[in-house]
Amino acid sequence: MATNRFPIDVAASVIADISAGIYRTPAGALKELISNAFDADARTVRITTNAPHFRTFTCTDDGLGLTPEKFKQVMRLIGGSSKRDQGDVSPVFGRPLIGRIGIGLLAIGQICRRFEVFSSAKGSAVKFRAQIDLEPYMRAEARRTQLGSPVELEKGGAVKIGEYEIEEAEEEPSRHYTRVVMESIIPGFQQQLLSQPTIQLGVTPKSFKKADMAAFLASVSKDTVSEHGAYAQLIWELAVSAPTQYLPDGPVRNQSRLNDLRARVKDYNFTAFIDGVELFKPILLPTRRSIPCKLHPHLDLDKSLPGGRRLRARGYLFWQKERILPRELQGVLVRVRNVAIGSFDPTYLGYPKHEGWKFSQLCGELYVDEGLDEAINIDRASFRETDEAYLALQNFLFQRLGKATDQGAGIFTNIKSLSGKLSQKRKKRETAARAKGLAGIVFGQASAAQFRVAQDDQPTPTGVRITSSEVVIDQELTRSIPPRQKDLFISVCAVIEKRLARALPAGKRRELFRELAELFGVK
Amino acid sequence: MPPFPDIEQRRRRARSSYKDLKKHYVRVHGWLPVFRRYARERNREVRYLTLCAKGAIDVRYFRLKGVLAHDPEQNAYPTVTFVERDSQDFAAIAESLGTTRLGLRGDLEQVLVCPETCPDQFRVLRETFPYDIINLDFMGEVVREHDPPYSSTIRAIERIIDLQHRAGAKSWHMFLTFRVCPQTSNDEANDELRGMMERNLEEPAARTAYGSRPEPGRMIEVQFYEFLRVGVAKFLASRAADLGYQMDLEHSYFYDRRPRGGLHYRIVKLIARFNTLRRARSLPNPHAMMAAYQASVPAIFRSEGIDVGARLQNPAEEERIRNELRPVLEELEREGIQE
Repeated sequence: MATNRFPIDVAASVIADISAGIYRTPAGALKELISNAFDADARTVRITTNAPHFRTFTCTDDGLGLTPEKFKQVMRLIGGSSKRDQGDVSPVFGRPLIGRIGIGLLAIGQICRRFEVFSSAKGSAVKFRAQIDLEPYMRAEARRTQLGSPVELEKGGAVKIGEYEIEEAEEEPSRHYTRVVMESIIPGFQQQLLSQPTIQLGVTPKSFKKADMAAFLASVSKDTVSEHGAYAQLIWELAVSAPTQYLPDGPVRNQSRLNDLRARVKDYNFTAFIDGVELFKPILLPTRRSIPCKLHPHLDLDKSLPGGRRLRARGYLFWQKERILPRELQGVLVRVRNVAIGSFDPTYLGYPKHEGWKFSQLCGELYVDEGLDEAINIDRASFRETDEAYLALQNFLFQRLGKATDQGAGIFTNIKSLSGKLSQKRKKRETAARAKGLAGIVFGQASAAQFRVAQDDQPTPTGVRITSSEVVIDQELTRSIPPRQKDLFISVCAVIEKRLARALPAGKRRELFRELAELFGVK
Repeated sequence: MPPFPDIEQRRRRARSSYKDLKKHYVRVHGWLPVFRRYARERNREVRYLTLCAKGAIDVRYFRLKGVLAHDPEQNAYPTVTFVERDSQDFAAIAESLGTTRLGLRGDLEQVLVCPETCPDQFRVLRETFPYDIINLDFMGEVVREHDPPYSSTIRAIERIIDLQHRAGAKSWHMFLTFRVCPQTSNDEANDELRGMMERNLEEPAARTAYGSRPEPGRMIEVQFYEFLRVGVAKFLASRAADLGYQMDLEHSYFYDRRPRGGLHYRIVKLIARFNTLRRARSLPNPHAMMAAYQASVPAIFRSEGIDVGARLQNPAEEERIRNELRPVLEELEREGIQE
């Protein structure tokens, strides 16, 4: 039987679907532009949102730039990134390259329908302007049209889907940059940014202070970032995900054991600004200096996988004996090549057991340097959960969290015992403080006097005996008193003994103490 | 949109004028005193609309002089609105100035004259009115060679005056910059201005103020620059009166440009004050309008343009202007604003 071959083709609307639909939030799209700048060895990338009007977005970096030919090559084969053809690191700063798929530029479709790219490559005497209009891809006709075919417009004429305009002009060879100007911002996105935060204390473009991510973090740390509005959310997502530095002292205060993580982002020499404010990773733990906490600084993994793959990760987990706020910080964040994939995952990559309050007291990051690229979904916000490397990472985390490891018990067990010990300590402290207060009342001043229970074989004459340094009470009297009430009961008895010793005979006093004990012991 | 090389040429021209002392002379002697007046009245909260170009030198200069509100903590100019049609320059301004009251990417003329083509932009811009100072440098002639006499630039200016009036602006200033080039001027528009001037001269007060200048028809031939300075100022006064303001020409400056391989032209800068004649939305009073206009005309005829080039012949003056400009240029250099 004869076999025929047929070409596979795609509808032009696929471009629209990719550009408008792959990123969950507009921050995800801007994150791609920051990643492009990082890969292009830029020192600085600046994003402006035209806040508070949000009509035009711009993104400018001082990276190596593109020649018109390179840009044409990128546009000719969307999804065919050649970034890593020359190696896995950037040519100037040796940064691990983030981009892999080659659809970063289309990410802009999440934000706007029309955009312009201006760029000049280092050493090139030419710069170019490319105008890209995604509107035709959104037309209904695009669903029935092959990529590259013309689409008839209602008003006549035709637009060839898969085309863009490019023009060139002279430029000084020493100048190199890429600038993207985004217009016709998608109304839904604009309205979202313009909407009022649910609480008045929200971060507005006005209150987002220059060079002060710490102030931003403090202002959103009451509960969630999202309640502060879409603009705060945008800043948060970009700050969390970008390969920028930590806040000074971050991620965990006074912890030299995380210096290597601090150094790795610092050494990249990369700064990102949004609306003039420098972005830092907004992680500063513990959220209050006085909270008991513990750092698990070495979540380090180096594992060989089938097929010659290797999974290499470095991370930490931090626990504090209070909820971590804002809530968006609860969980674990996976960074692949320094860029966050999604947000902090409060399920800890789907940890199978319910650990209740412990989930909300943990925060951690996992920097995966090798092995996980192929597991990243096209949205760069989630993983293919069946990928071997992802499963290995998941398993590693579960082991660390739940089971006995070479560092001792699992982290959750550790938290439980640490929490228990801390609770006992606290209770002891409270009991001592209470006893001190009660003794103060009994002895008329703050005193170090002790409350002691006499053994059955050494009873006191009346049931209670007061000396200068202690109050002794018969064991028989305290037997039915709940532990919480014991100190109070002894104190009441001591006051009676002290005040009525002369007025009442010993037998009567003993009777009185017995009746009081019954009263306190009622359940 | 014009082709990219044309835009680049215009940008290069703008860049070459960064260090232009003539331009800065007008900022120092003409614009700054006006800013100071409003800054005193409004505690520096001067509402300012500008077509500032990439370097935003005017904004930086007035900030450095302490007459424009600026919040360094928030990196914001809360009272400044800028409009820029070129997307590259828009990005550069937005990135360097930080948060402004409004940054509008678009062609101001088009936004004002054809709001139906960009209703959203027009709405956003309209909401920011009124302003204390509006600085209009359309980088061209008021009536271009092939435009109709009632050009889009003129209509845009009218629209601004109207928006100011509707928003209740009582007293405000306009800085208007335009180019005068006899070879590319619009004859039809010139004829209309000449006719208006001749009618003005029928008034004795205006005739006296007109002085020994040649008659308007002759003036077009022998003093074209002066003809257009006076003609445009008067036209502005006439439209202002119709739209509810009395316009007073406070100062005017001019300087020459001789581009290599291009036509010689002159830049004229008018500083005009507008005082309200009637409240917003109240009916116009034709007598008051006519009186306002007739009061403005002799003053315009009496006015004399200041020749900036001649003033800068004085070495001390030149040094002073250079010193005034230096901090701004240093700031631009620090921020790497050149591309």
